[in-house]
Amino acid sequence: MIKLENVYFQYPTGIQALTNVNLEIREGEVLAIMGENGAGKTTLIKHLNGLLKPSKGKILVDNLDTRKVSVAELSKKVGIVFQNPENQFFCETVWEEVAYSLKNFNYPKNLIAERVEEVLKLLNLEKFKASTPFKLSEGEKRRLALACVLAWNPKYLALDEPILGQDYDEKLKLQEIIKRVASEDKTVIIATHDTDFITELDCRVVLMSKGRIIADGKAEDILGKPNLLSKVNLEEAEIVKLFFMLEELNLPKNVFTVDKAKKVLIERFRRLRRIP
Amino acid sequence: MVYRFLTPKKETPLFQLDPRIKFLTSSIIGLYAIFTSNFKVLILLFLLIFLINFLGKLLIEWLKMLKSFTTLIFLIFIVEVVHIYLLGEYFSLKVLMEKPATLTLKFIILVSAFTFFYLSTSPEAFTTSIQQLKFIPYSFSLTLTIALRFIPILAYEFQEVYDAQRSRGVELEKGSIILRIRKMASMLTPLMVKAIRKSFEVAETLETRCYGLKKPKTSIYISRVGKWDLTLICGVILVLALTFYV
Repeated sequence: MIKLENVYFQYPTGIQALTNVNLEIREGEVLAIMGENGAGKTTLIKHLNGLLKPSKGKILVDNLDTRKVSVAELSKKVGIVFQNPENQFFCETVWEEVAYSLKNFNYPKNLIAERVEEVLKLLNLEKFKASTPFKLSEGEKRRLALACVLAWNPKYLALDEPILGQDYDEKLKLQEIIKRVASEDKTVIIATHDTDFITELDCRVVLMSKGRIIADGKAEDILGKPNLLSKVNLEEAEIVKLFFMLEELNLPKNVFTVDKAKKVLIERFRRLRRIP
Repeated sequence: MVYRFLTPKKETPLFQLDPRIKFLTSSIIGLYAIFTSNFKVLILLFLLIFLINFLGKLLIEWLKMLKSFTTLIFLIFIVEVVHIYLLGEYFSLKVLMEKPATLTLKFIILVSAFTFFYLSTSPEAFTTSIQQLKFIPYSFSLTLTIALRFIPILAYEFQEVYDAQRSRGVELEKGSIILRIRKMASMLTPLMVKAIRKSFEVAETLETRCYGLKKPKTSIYISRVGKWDLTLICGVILVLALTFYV
């Protein structure tokens, strides 16, 4: 479990990025951290593996105080995929890029080869294993960054704006990957603006504004409240908007996923005897 | 210079001065320190720098900068003392101390001479004023402008790359020097790739914004030498004139 207790953080420039943040991230859950630009999402994520240390308060990752443990040690538990995947690429090939982290963590050679092949297959990057990372498309680069982290199999996976600049197809792939990783009983933490992406994941949502947590709950409880979302400059998911517009048809408002919407509409049409 | 980008602008006349005058003042003090070996003159120059930083409310930043040189300052002093001692020129404590103290003070003045300039000048203000010097071709001053503007961006990106690599288990502080240098490749490659990509983007952006279409180019902001600039330069000249009587 990751536990944030009264966490405050101020950048050297004087910007107060986190104010009294209290949060428990449980094992095996998918957690979305959402909020406007500058809300403190990335700062919070950087605290999870000790890249940033709280100015006040403490963070416990499986009872390890992030102030007292090295980033390398914490990174074994908490893998972070950053906003810009290119920040980490420097190897000649995709294969070496994935293997690099494992070498840093002193994995045996045979295990490195095994893990690299495994994650490249998982993320559909096998055909690029001999190519340079810099020539991949944006979506592929992002998947490679994810592969680099998944290679060492961290217990907690944090993704910072994972769908930034991704096309629809890449988004769907990423959703699939996140669902698959979560199904392996891993904790996935996602910092994002994209409500459509999160509704489909049907996870726990933490809303942040100006460095504070202003709401914490199930996606359907948080993302179905337009007033709350407008406070943090977030737009409701398209599916939520649609069901709010169809209010006069007495359709339920707590519809967040396309699958559920399909079921509700089919049910309604059946009742109207349009579908046998 | 990177430090300046993190220093908030202060409401003191020093921050309002023409960057060219500040640069000229810093250069005069620095050059004078190089050519003089008179301890009393160096003390005077040191006091002058102190006064300018004091008036510009930059004393803390200046001392922080000096603090980062502490080891080097001590090293210069000790090496010079040992050098004099080994050469057998040690006749008295005064002789043993005078030359090392002079050399150390000279070093302090040299590293301090430009402090008030770069702590109180934004790169934009400096390059805008450089662009207005007719004898410097615009392409040169623009290159300088872009280079300076990119320093904070590169500093930020360096931090991003550093964080990304640390998250992958890279520990730059650990291991032998050879190992550390090898680890640095993981930092430098992404930074260089980003810098090169950025340079292409800037070139394309300049072209799409009609760079080079109109010559000479006009400026929105024009730097002018005002009364405070004249006060500073006159004050410095006065102090330097005084040094001839020391």
